[in-house]
Amino acid sequence: MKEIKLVFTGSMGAGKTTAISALSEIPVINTDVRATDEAALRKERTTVAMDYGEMTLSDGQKLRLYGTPGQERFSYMWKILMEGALGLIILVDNAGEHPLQDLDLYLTHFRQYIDSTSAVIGVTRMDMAEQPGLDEYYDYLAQKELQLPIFSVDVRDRDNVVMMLEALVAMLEFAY
Amino acid sequence: MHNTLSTYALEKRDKLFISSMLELTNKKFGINWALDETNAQVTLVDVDQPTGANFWEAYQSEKKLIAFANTNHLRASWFLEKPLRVQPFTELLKKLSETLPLVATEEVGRAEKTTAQTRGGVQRTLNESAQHYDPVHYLSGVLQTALLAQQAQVVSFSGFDPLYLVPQEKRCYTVTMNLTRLTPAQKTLFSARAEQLLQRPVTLEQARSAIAEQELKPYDIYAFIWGSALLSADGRLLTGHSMQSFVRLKQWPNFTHLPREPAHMKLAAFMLKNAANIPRIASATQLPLATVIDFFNACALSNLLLTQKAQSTSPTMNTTQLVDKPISSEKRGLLGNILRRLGRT
Repeated sequence: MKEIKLVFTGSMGAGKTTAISALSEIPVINTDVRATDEAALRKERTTVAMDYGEMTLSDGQKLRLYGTPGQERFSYMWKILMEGALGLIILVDNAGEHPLQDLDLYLTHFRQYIDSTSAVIGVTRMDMAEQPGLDEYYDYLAQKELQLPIFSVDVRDRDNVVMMLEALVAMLEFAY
Repeated sequence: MHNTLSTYALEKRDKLFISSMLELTNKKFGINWALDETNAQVTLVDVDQPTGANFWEAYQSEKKLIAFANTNHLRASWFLEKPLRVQPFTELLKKLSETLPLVATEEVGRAEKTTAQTRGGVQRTLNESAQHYDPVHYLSGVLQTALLAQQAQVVSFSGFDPLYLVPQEKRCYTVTMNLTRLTPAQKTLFSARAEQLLQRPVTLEQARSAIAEQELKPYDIYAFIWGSALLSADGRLLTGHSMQSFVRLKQWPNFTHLPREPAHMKLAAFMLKNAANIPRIASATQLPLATVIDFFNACALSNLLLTQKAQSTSPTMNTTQLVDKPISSEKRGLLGNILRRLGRT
């Protein structure tokens, strides 16, 4: 049976592991290690290979949920994880130093994939940093000639994660 | 003289059966029913189909509908069990005939002519001039007026805690509520007419003091405008707009903090990429026209729409790329499976 998978990507600390945990029926399998570089200033543990969770669909098929490692130096993993993926959810930490630059990194890296399928962007921790606002993200997407949904989300809230997935499904079905 | 019947969300096979069974029952049982897809007295709706269930939900209070399903799970007054069989179908039509006036044959003919002129199988025709939605008569208008006047005020509605409007902050304050999952009682506030609302101007200081004292929670005032537009328009198009205008979404509504239904996701996805008029949007998304209009109104009042009167020639308004859904039925099935798993169908 063909593997069905969704990929969560985005900046370190944006909440990819938490988002997958919100959906997965199994405890998320991850490869977190103690952060030792600049990442340690922001996060005690970080993912270096991938997160993995899964959901069982009504016909018994497994929807596999993968989270990419956040740091760019592990970007060789990104392409591997994206092969054959149904869709992409990009999470950006708005309380990070340069959230728009972070987004640019992922949009650039995954552009070919996004153009051929679709993606949804979730901006996290907007309660800690209100700027940039969602309008600025949309302006940024317009510069890149991209039309994607952007939401402010709290990935600890399952409803927010479900909403992103629901939006992604709608984009895959209706945004052509 | 006839009675008229239309169908909604029926499978092609069932539609063919209905058509041939009508001929048969008319001849054999002396009843007189005609199919009329635009202006029928009664609509047979396959409520086992998601689009049919949506249609039922949107129109059950204002149209005479027959639920067509495996079981009468909606407890419909008029119900036809699957599969289609001649006798129950005939008996149902006979009973319905007793409750309905007859339609002159030439009227049916005119309606059939109109059917040929309509696009996309959209079944609801609106008298736009008579059925416009003017927010000034609803909570949405009260909120807009407060924003324009920059006047803080407290709004009371029977049985609800006070709603403090603080337009200087673009916020309103009230008790804790989950805007994405409004209770039926909360929905009555959002659909309230202006005359049901008691408004009292207050100073900013008085508002802030009351908010602090009562520990009220802040909400984006536009989320309330969105909710009110969505829940009070009841399928009537926002005044000043046309069904034929080509519209596209500038950006997605931030559904994290807005009342929403699964249908709104489909509409947002389609309208983000395509400029189209309202009938075309309803047709492409297979959603009831009333749902599309309510969503359109909410987007318009939230300033999320790019609108133009005629078919676009602008390079930013992609009207020429409208195509039939390119995804395979297998993929559509998979996406439907995911939504079912999420409980979002």
